[in-house]
Parts: sequence; structure tokens; C-alpha cells
Amino acid sequence: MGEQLPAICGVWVVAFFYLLFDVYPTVKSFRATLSTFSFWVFWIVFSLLSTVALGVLKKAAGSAINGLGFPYADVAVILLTVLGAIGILQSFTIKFADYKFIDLGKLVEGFRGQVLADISAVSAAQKKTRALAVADLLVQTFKGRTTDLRNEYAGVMSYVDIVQIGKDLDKLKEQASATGLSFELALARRIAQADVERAEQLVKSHRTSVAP
Amino acid sequence: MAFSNESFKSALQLLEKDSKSKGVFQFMVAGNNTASGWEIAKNLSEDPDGLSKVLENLRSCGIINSQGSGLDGYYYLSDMGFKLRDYFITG
Repeated sequence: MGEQLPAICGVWVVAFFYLLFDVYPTVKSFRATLSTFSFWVFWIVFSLLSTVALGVLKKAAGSAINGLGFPYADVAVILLTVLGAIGILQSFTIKFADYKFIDLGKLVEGFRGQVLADISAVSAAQKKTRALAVADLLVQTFKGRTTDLRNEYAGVMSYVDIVQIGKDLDKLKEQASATGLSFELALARRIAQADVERAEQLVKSHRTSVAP
Repeated sequence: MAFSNESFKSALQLLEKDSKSKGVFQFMVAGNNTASGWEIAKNLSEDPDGLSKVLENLRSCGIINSQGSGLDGYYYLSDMGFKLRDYFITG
């Protein structure tokens, strides 16, 4: 077991990076991925199955692979193991009389879909937290300059006409006073929710302009 | 899979028949599958009241989930949403 440990660790590392880069093009956030519990469960299950595949491969063809004298034989075995496990998980099916008794591919796809949805939920929560933090900074930046903040709101919401923007601002002011919230904070939150990059840019540009 | 074939089919029908729902879905897929209601309204130049209804409809069909409601909510694709995404990408 001890001598197999580096190969097992190698399989778990390769499995981790495979899954990480497999989901990245869809979720586009390493931070959200690494903060998602089901992603880690997915990795553990996949790595355990790959470890079993490693054991089978070593038992069946270990001496033959070592006999080739290939300098990176261990690395090749690790990569083959993970690729083999992916292949089996994505396509293993037992069909009898037109009925699929076992469809591992479908099961894995379903689990992967749930993992992606969980990552997106975490990503949405992180986006919300970021917008709230930027809104707080925006309020500090525009302290005592409510008109400027209103102008920035009009800029962000420029897809609607100015009359509608006026009505929206009046409505927001009413809602803020009805709930006891500061109008400036409500305005800053709305800007950050609609366009968090622009809100960050406003905070940054103001800080740059007041810096000595 | 946490959803039935019937609910998948009705969600697919909604996206194929309602251009506004499809527009919101496509906007989310083109981004990182998450967006605030106001972000969607700004980027798709949608009327806030109409968009709230579209988002609620997408949510009740199980295509998206949300944290919060209305345009102040943050929306993200559900597992069915990801399945639909795959459907539209790979056919």
C-alpha cells in the first residue's frame, strides 16, 4: 500500500484538475467552484473510482508497463487510469431487451448538472455580497453628493428614457423612506446590482482623483 | 435527475415559444449562469414589471432558481437549466 501512495495521490490530483477545468468553461469561477460542497463530493467519488481503476490496471498490466522501460511509466499509468475512469463513467451502459438497466453516463450527467447548479448558487451569493460591499463603498464615495449619485444612476440606467428614470427614482425614494432605509444606500445598491463593474469604476476613479 | 421528462419538455416549450424567456435564458447562459434582476433588465433593456413576470415564470418552470425575488433577486440556472443549456448547445 505504501509504495502505491504516490500513484494514488497522483490519481487524486489529476482527477481534481480534470474536474476543475471540466466545469470552469460553464461556471467561469474557480472561487465559486472551490467553495461548493458538492464539487468536493464529486471529486472524492470520482477519485475513489479512479483509485479502484488504478488497482485493476496495476494488477492486470503493471509488470508489462514497467517492462517497457518507459521513463515516465508511472505518470502514464496515472493518466491512463483517470482517462479510463472518465470513459467508463461517461459511457457505461447495460442494455437488455431495449431497456437500459444501468446507465452510468446518465447518472453522472445528472450529478454533474446538480454540481453545476450548486456552483451557480454559490456564485450568485458571491455576486450579491460583492454588490452589497461595492454599494457601501459607493455611499461613502458619494457622501453628501446625492445629486451626483442620481446622475450616475441615470447613466447606468440609460436604456430607459429620462422621464422613466425620474419616476423610478421617486419610487425608490418612497420605498426607502417606507422601510427606514437611507435613499443614498438604496440608490447605490441599485447601481451595483445593475452594473457592478461600473459601480467599482466609480469608487476607483473617485479615489484616484482625490489621492494626493 | 431532480426533474421529470415532462417538466423538461414544458420548460423547453416555454423557451421555444416565448422570446422574452429565451432572451433571459440566453443572457444568463452567455454570462456565468448567474445575474441580478436589475443586471438582466439593463442588459436586455427590459421593462422592470414585465421582466419580473418573466423571471417568476422561468423560476416556476424550474429553469432558474433565485436568492431573493423581483428585480432585486439574484438568479442562477438550476440543474434543469443546465440540461437545457446542453440541449441548445449540442442539439
